[in-house]
Amino acid sequence: MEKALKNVKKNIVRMAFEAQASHVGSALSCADILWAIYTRAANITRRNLKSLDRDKVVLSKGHASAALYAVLAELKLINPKLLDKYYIDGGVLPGHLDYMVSPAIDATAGSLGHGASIGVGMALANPDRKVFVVMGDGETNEGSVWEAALFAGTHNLSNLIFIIDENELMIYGDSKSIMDNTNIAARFHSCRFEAFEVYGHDIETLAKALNKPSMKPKAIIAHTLKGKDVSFMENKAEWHGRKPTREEYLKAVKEIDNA
Amino acid sequence: MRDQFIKTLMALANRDKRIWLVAADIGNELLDPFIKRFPERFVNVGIAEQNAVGVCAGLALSGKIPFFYSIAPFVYARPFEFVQVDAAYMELPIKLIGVGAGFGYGSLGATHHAIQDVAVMRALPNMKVFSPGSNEEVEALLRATIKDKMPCYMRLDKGAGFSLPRHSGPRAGIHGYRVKPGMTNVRAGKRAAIIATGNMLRDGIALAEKFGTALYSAHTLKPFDSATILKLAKNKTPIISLEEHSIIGGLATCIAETLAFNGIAAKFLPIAVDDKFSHYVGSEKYIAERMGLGNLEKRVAKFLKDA
Repeated sequence: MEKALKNVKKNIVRMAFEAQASHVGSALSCADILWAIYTRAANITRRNLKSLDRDKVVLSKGHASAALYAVLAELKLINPKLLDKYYIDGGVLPGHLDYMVSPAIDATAGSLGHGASIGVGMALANPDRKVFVVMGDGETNEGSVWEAALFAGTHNLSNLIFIIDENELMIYGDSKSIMDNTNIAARFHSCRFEAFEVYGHDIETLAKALNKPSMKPKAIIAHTLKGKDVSFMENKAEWHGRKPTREEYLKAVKEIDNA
Repeated sequence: MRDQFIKTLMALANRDKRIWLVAADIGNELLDPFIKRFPERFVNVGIAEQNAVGVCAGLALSGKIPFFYSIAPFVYARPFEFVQVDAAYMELPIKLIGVGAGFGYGSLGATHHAIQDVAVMRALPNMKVFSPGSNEEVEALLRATIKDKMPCYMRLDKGAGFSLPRHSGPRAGIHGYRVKPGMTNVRAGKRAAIIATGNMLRDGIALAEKFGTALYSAHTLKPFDSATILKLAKNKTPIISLEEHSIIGGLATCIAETLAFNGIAAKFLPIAVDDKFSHYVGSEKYIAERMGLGNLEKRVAKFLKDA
């Protein structure tokens, strides 16, 4: 793993521990996806950050905000010192995204199912930009996601890229027994997307998928592990809400370093 | 009134390329001139109102000024949480236009009525709430809202609209009628003041002329023109409010809050819609009369006698 990406993941666990914040498993699930988007696909730099026309990244599963904050800090798109201002009294970075905090945060999120529609609007506003929307697999339970998908397919928004963080876990457990998502690629395909499945923790695989030319909107189903790279968090639904103890935090950092 | 909306929007869009129009498969005939002239700035998202508001947010985040037009309950109620997060919380210049204020879609039934919209939208921080009573107010408010970076909700009468008679206002200018921020003083009078909003302005004119009262058009319900109400109350002027909206959370509430929060009493007759759904079948007028807006002359006469 790249050293910088290790820093991202260590920061995610550190933030969760220091602020005693929930959703650390959700953040680790999509950290690789966000890293691949920002370092391999989207054209977002400190220079063009305030441009209305630049590429956009919408983290629609806003509860994984720590992953976005850590990626933006590593790339100096936000001040890295802000990571100490996460979740706490008098903080700056809320548990769910507030786009008014920084020009690097492209949309507010927290209520699931908004990002897909916002991404459609961004893609319509400027056909020459790319819009990346990262959603959770549980999030696609929301009907509004399919309102947006049907529209994007009908109007062939080829600059729109949905990435589904498919970790197959929801708060109550296995998503198959709650809302079965196993045919999700086919569902996007039926909305006239180019939909395909990839392994969601290999940066170059993700980069290839993100940059694959397409005449249609894309839906990348990224198979992931909730809590990736921390053995005792991996694939455990409880790490949606649980907060790490000091011991768990130190162990997690060690494991990420060795990954 | 909706004809005035599209007419003004066309004029504004002609000069301002940031203006987009979003529809949810409602209003095709009305919006046709816009669609033909600015096809690249028109989106019909289909029957998908949550997506409509979300798409507006994406457009607004890209520097556009999106107008979402539909029948009122499908603008303020169906996608409410999208309005709350993507327009109000995000402070985006999304302009929500709901047609068929009150019982405008009378016979279609209560799913198409909008009698709680002001109450609901007024509760959202950053959201301005407009309820124009005349075509002049529609035009003035639309022009003003383009310059405002915040979201707004405007409820429009379904009918063809209504222009105040020229020189009807006490400060009538060369165009006959000037729209003042907050509330417009349409007619001077002594015995009492009628505050009407939206399509009830028409009834307000008839009543004001019959009883010789003052008349104001409350076209903006948030922010509310408390100063005018306080001035009337301090002068011991009895106040009558007229609205095709629930008694809860609309114009009557705005007036009552203003009086109570300032510790000032006034003789006050709120005329509004009862707190219930209509199961009546019939026109706007037919339903309104049975839902709390009947016998206006009688009620006003009694109030003035007692006041």
